[in-house]
Amino acid sequence: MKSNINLVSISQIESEKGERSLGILKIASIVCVALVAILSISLFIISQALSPEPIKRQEEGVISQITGLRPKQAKLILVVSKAKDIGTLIQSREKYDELLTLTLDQIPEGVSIGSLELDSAKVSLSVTSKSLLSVDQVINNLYSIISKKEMIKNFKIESISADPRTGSYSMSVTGERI
Amino acid sequence: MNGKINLDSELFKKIYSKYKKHLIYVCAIFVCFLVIIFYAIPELSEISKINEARKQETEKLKILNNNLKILRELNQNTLDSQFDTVTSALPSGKNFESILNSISQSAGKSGVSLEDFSLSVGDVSAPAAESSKGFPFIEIALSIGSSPRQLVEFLSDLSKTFPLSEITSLQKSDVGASVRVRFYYKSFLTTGFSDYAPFGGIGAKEVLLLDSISPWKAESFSFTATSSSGPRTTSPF
Repeated sequence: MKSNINLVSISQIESEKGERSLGILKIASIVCVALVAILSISLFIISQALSPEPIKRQEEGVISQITGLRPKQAKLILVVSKAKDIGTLIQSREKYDELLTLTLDQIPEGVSIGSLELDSAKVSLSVTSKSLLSVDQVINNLYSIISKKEMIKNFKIESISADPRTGSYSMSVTGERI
Repeated sequence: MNGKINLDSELFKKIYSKYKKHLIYVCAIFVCFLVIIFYAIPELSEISKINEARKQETEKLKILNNNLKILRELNQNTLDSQFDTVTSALPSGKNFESILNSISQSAGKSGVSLEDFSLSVGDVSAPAAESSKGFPFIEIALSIGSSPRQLVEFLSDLSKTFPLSEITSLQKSDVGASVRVRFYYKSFLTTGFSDYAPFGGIGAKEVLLLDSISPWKAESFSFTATSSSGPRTTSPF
């Protein structure tokens, strides 16, 4: 006897297969719809939660408070800006009182200044004395300030002369500013 | 067996009748697919943009709150005093009265005599000349009668008056001295300022600076007051 006699008809088998596939498709579609619905709702909620609109409203509130303090704000900005400029100016300007003091300190007793010129590029000095030693002292002092790298980096003796009538010596010197 | 298939309406009707029940589920899955493609994926990239925008707005709010805090904590009297100091030290325009005042004050204190002075205003039609420091200035040439030490004192006093000044050249001879002085000023450019620009208030270094120079303002104005009320024995003129 044949063991593979099938009492169920072919159409019934096909019908059962069709029912099964329909069931699977039904479940798959329900799952898809559910997942997509959950995903869409979640995305919507997240986009609403992350919206910057509430923060912008807070900003407007703060700006309206700052507007009430506008004169103070303007003064503050001006003070900060000008204070910076003032600091720059004070730091960078040359201290001519100190330069003049330094120059005068190089002139010993018994020497008088005939003329003195100071600017950003040079120093010109002419001195007169009855003592040649004092004039020499001026030269030594100028050497000393060069070695200390103060005010001038070099100097040139433009002239040295003696006046027999008055018995005095004159010297003029030019130095290049540091 | 015949391998040919006729694509006619009979075939579609057969397929439809066979798979009628499947159709709705297939359509549902197809619609879900479309929703993912046309809504979910674009929305995801939109969310990342929204998040970036939110971060930027949060930063802006932080800056605004900080600015507001600085303004609220700022003492008005201190600010007014600092404002007076900076506008006296570096005026917004050419202040001839203050300039002449500072020269006469310094001359009076040091005992030098002011013989002559000339102002160099420059071409009114052209923009103001600027020094190498980037500040416009008025240059004044002064002729002074003094001893060298008096001249030192005059220069030192002048450097501590308002408006801020700088000596550019000095000539001393037997008959007197001539000094070229620049008095600086700088207009405040009102190009508009943004509320969103953070301002850090006045720094400690600037506060120290303003505290150190504010007495110069008091001295400038005190001389004007005494010279106008009492005998002008210290006036160099």
